[in-house]
Amino acid sequence: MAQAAPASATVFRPPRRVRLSAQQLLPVAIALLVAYLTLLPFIFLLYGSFFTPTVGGQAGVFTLQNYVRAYTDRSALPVAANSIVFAVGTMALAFAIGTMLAWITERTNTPLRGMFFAVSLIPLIIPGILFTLSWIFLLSPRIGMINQWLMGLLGLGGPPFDVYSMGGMIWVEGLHWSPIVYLLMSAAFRSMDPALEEAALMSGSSVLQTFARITLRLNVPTIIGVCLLMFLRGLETFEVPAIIGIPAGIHVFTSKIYLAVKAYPSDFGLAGAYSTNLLLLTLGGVYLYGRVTREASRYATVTGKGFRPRVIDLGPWRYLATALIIAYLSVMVALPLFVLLWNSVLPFYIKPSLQALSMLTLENYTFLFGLPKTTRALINSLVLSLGSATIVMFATSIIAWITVRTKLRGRWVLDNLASLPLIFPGIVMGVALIWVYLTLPIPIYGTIWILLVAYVTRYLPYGMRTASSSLVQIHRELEEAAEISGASWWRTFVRIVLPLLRPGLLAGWIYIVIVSIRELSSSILLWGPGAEVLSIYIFDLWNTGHPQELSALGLMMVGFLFLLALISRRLSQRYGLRHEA
Amino acid sequence: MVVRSRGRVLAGALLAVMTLWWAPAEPAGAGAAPSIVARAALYKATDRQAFLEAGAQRERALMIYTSMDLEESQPILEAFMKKYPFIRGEIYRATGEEVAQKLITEYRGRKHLADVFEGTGIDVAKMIKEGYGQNFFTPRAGTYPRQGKDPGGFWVATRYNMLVAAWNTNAVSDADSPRTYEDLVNVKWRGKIGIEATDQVWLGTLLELWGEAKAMEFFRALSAQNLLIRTGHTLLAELIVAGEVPMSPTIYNHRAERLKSRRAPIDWRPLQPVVAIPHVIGLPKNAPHPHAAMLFVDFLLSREGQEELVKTGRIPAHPLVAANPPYLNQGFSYKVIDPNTFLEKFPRYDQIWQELIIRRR
Repeated sequence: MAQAAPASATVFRPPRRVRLSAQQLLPVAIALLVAYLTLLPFIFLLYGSFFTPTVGGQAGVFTLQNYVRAYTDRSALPVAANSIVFAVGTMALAFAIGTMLAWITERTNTPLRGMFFAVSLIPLIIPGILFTLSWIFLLSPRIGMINQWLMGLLGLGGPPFDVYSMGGMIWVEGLHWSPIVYLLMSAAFRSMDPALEEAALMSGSSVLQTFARITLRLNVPTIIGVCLLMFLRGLETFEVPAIIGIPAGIHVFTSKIYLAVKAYPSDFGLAGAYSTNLLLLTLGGVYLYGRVTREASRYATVTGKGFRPRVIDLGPWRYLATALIIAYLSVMVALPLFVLLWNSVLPFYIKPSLQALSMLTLENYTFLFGLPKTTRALINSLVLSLGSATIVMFATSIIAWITVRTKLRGRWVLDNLASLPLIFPGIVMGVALIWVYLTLPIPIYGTIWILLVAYVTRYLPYGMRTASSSLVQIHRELEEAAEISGASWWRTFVRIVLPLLRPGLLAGWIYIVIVSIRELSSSILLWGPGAEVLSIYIFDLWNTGHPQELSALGLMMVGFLFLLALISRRLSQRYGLRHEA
Repeated sequence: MVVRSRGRVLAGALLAVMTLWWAPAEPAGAGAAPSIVARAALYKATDRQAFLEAGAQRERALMIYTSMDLEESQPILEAFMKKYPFIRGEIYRATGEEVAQKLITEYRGRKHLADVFEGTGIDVAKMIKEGYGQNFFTPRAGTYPRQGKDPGGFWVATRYNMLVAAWNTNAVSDADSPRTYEDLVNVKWRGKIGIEATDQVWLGTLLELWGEAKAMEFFRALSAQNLLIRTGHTLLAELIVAGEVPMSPTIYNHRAERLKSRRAPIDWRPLQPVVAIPHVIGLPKNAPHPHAAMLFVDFLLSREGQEELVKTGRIPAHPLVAANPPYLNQGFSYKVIDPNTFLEKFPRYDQIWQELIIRRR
C-alpha cells in the first residue's frame, strides 16, 4: 500500500479504520470481480481449444490437433494476412477521418461545426448489419446506386466500385467506426489546455504544423488508445466479414471462427485455436499501449490551472472544412438513411423511379407493431445497454484510478485482466459464456442477465481505455489538494476524480450504450426466449428475408438512438467542460 | 450534492427497473426425468388425449425451439393456445443450425429448456444423433407417407422447402429461363448464377439420385460458371428481385411465390426432380413439459395444424392438405433425402461443396 492515507490526514486526525480498510478492500473486490468476469471465459476457452469436440455424449480428449490445423491449414496464412490488412486498413481510415473531423469541430472556427456532434453519431448507431447492407445497395457492382449513377454520369462501361473486395470491406468498416474515433478524439481535444497550441501559433507555426506538432503529440496516449481500439475492432468485427467477406471469398479470423462454430459438430476447439491467434495479436497491442503511457505525467494536459479551450481561426479555409463536413455527412448519414427509408416504404427492393413511387406502403411498419416481440425487444435493449454502460464506466474508472495513480503491486495484472476481453471476438465470448454458465450453478443461463454479464465483460476494455487515458491527462495535483484538505479517498474520488473525468466517462458511456444496443455476435448465442434484444430481432428479420421490415425497424432504432445522443449531448454540455459562448 | 444525489437516484432507479423487468426468471434447466417424458411420449391407451391434457394442465407451459419465421410460427402457436388455453407457449426462433447447436450445448450442460424442436430434418437429426432425442407415438403420423417419418419414431415431417430455379424477370426472359438442370451449365449463365452458401443438401440429394459420375460432372461444370455465392435463401430471393443476382437454382418456391404476389419482378420454375428439404418435429428427451409438447406435436401434424401452416404460405407435409397455391408442391416430382443418411455423409458432401461451389480463395 504505497498509496496509504496522506501524511497530512494522519497529522490532523487519527486514520479511521473503516475508511482505510474500504480503501484496501476496494482494489481487492474490484480485482476479484474483474477476474471473475474475464478469466473464467478465458479458462473455458483455453480448455476447449485443447480438447476434441464432444459428440454423441462422448467427452473430448486432450489434443493439439486444433492448433496444428489452425496453423498448417492451407488458408492459415491468407487468413492471418487478410485479418491484419483489414484491421490496419479499418484503423487507418477510421482514424484519419475521425481525427480530422474532431479537430475541425473542436479546435477550429469552422461554420456549422456545432450541429455536427449530434449528427455525427447517426452512422455510429446504425447497426453494423444495416450499415453494411445499405452499402451493398450503394456500391454493389450490379445494383449499387452510386455505381449506376457514376456510370451514367461519366459514361463508364463498367461499375467503378465493387463492394465485394478488401477495399470495399475496409471502406464500410472504416467508415462505420470513424464516428467512434471522432467521439474519443474530440473528448481529448476538448479537455486539452490550448496554451501550447497558442504558443506555437504565436511563434509562427502554421495551423497544420501546430496540429501535427502540438495537438497530435499532446494527445499521444489517446491516439494510441484509439488506434489500438480501431485495430482491435477491425480484428474482431463480424458483420462486414460475414456479409461482404464470405461472399467475396475474403476470410478473416472472425469469419473462420464463425464457420468453425457453425459447422456440425461445432468445432469449438478450432475456434479456440483461432482465438488464440487473435490473443497474440492483441497482447502485442496492449503491451505497446502500456509502454507509451508509462510516463504518464509527460502528457498531463489538464492541470490545476484555470483554462478555457479556445478555437483556432482557419481563415478562408474554414469553408473548405465545412464542405468536408457536409461531404462526410452525406456519405455517412444521408446515403445509408436514404436507402433504409427507401426500403422501408416499399414492398421489396426497387430502384428509385416513378414506377416505384406508386408502390409506396406503410405495411412494413404495421407488420412490426403487430408483433408482441417488438416492444419487448425495445425495452430489453434499452435497459440492458444503459445498465451495462453504467456498470462498466463506474467499475473502470475505479480500475483506471488504481492502475494509473497507485503504486499497488500487481496493478498491471488488473489492467491486463480488464483488457482480456479484447481478445474475445463476440461470437467466441458467447460460446465461452454458455459453457461457464452451464457448468457453474449460477442460474442466469437463458435469461437476460447472461447478456448483461456478456456486455459488461466485453466492454470493460473499452471503458478502461477511455477512463485511463482521460485519467492520465488529469494531473494529480487536484487530488492532492483535496487530500491535503482532509478529504477521504472515496470523497476525493467522487468529488474530484469523477467530475474531472466526466467528458471522457461520458464519451465512453455513450459509446458503450450504443455498441451494446447493436451487439450481435455474443447475443446471438446467448439470448433465450423472453430475452430478445433489438440486434437479434434485426438479425432475425435479415435472416428470414425481411429487409424492408428490417429497414423500418432500423430506421426507428436510429431515430430513437439519435434522441438518446441528443440527451447525452445536453448532459455533456451541462456537466462537461464548457466552450466559450 | 444535488448532482450526486440525482446520480444515485438514477442509478437506483435503473437497477430497480432491471430487477423488476427481468426478476422472476424461472429457474433454468429443471427438465423432467426421462421416464416421465418417455411415458408421455409413448402413451398409446385410448384415454391418451385426456391423459395428455391432464398432464399439460399441470405443466401450463410449452417452449418451442424452431427455425420457422416468427410471422409464421406465432400464428400457429396462437391457434394452438386457443385450443388449449391453459398452456402458455413461447417460441425460441433462430436458424436451424443455431437452434440445433443451442439445444445440444444446453443438454451437454444439463440445462433442459426445449419441449419440442421443429427444424430441418438434418438439424433435428443432429439432436437425435447426440442421444438427446426421445422417440414418440402420435396417432397423427399414420396418415403420413413413409419418407415423412422416422422408422425409429424420433421425428415426423411438418413441412417442405422446395429448391427451385427463380430469376429476375427484367434480366431474364421467360424463353431464356432454365428448364432443366443441364441448362444451368450453359455458358450464357456464366457469372449470373446465384447459389446459397449452405445448400450441401442440394448437392447431396442430387448426388444420391444421379450417382457419383453424373453428379460430379454436373457440379464440376457448374463450378466453372463463376457462381455468385450468397448466404440465406430469403436474401438470395431478395437479391434476385433487386437485380443483383439474375438467377438462382436454390430458391425456396414459397418465397419466390410470395414476392411475385407482391408484384416483384421474379418468377420461378421447378427443375425436375426438385430437391425438397424436409422440416420435421422431434422431442428432446428431457423436455420439461412433455404432455404439452405431445399435444403440440399432435396439433402441428393434424389437418387443423397443417392448414394453419398453409395459411402462412408454407408447404405442408400432410398428404391430404393442399398447399396454397397448390402448384407449390404439385405438378412436379420432388426428391427428399433421408436426414440420417445426409447427416452421416455430410463431411463428404461438404468437402465437394466447398471445393467446387464455394471455392475458397
